[in-house]
Amino acid sequence: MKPVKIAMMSLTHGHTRKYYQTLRENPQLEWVAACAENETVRDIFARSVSGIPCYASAEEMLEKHPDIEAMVLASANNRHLEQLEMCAERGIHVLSMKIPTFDMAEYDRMIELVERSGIVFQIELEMHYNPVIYRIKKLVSEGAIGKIFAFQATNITLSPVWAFPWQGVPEESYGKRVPLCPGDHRFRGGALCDHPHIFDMIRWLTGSRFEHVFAQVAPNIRTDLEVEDVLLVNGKMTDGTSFLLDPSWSRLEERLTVPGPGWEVFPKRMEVNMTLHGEKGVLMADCFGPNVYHNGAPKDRYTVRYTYFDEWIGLVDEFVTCIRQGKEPQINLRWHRATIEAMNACYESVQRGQTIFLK
Amino acid sequence: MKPKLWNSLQKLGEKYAVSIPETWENEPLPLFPWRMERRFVELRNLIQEKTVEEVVLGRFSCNVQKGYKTLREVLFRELDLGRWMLGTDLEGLYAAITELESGESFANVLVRWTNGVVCSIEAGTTLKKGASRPFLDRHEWVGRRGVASDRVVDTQIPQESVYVYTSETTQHFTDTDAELFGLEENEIAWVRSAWELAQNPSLRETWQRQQEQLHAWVDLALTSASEKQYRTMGGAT
Repeated sequence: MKPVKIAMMSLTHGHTRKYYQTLRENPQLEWVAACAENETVRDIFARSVSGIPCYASAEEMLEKHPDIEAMVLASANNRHLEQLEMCAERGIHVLSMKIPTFDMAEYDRMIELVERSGIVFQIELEMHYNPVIYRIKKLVSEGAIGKIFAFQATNITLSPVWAFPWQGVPEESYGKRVPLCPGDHRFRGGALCDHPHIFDMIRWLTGSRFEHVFAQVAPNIRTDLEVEDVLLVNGKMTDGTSFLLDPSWSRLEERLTVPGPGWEVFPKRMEVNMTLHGEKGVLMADCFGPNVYHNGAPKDRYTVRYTYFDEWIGLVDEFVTCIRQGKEPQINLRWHRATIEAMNACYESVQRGQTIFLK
Repeated sequence: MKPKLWNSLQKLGEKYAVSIPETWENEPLPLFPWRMERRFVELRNLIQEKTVEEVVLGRFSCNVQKGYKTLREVLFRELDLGRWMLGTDLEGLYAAITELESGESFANVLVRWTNGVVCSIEAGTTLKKGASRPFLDRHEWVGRRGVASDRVVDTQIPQESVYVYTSETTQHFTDTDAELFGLEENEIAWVRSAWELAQNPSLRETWQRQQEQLHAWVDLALTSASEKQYRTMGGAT
């Protein structure tokens, strides 16, 4: 199969560096270029990657490399529509970060753009390529625990805002400045915007839809942020499955501008844990464990050293297959729309202090 | 080679455009599967990158169910892990081995590596069928700065990624390799080791030599146990 000529835009998303190894090692890809959001990002890229030209603007990159076939939109959420427009008009296939947009009118415009241009648009929900999720899906499909009636999940991390500042800016993360609720000085755009995975996974594993959500935001751990960092979500799916979701930034961090060793204060900087209660049994899972553990340099703190983070291999494999074989990715805009709606409903629940029923 | 391992290896070869010699299907290969386990790769990285600095002590244990591996194979693996993670050679060792009438056996070994690091190895084939896994192991390095382990603090046995509890059974699973999902842990390690060799054929000579060296070290442990003396590769001290 002819390698797909691929490039990256912006390089400001927290997952940007996850692609470097895969784009280099996957023989089905030819990484031809990147463009950075600003000079600081460009400098960081230059220190991490050699041999790939990095331009100051998307326009310059696209002009110099008219043969680009596919693009990773590694950008802030508020840049996705504009970047999709640039790609769609050139017939460039898109691998988008996990939140295409929270604005549902914009979201529908994106669907229209993709369907009209005929490009592949895959959304980076990398948990679908995690080996523990493979196992959970297999066990659930085989009926190992029977019909699921309750689901709890955490997607809790440190806060990435010090390295990726746009994640703490409401306009760039949520798309606009919307107060969390009356009397609260904070705005939408924090931890919830960073953690769609568990909202997606409950749909994927139960095959059901969100019926209603009720969400509560706690006082911030990081009082200097203007977006929420700790929240909890309760509710039910249309098949009766009740759920509790924790998508918080509840693990403290050193305020590094470039992620690296010693970033975490709590030993495990990122977890996705799930408990599925079925009529025949219970399944408990840690999607990023076990690992190895140390208290060495640079901070001498007890720390989890992750042993696997290769979700990007499967994700990119699927992207290439869809491009070359004209298939639709499993995580496409239409699939993901209901997850974004549910996340918006959580914000609405916080704002109104009420249960929000989804249509 | 089991057909499913051969098929998995070929699939990797096709995906990454690396040629797998057809002769490998029926040929014994000098592999080190355990070196491909992610936990050992990261423990080694912690030492090599000096996150844990100036290692002075290692504490290893590996006990398997009878029939899963022989005592010789367990010692072979643990000695190799020590040498490979530290990047050093064996200076000498003292071994005490107990053999039971059942055919099970257990070895307690003290190892000194050429860089001065001292290491204990508890190696056995006495784990009973009631254990949750066919083997239980643990590896810990102690440095002047930091301790590293493949077991989380305050635990004695391995954690798993997935637990399933029903009224009839308890099951558990640990999956760390999406590309080779469907193979058992030890099968994945084997395929990854063969894959490493396929990508770097020049490793074969080194790996062959290291295997011969390890067999000599295991023999040394058996000699030490029978003579009840510390033994080095150069003779008694």
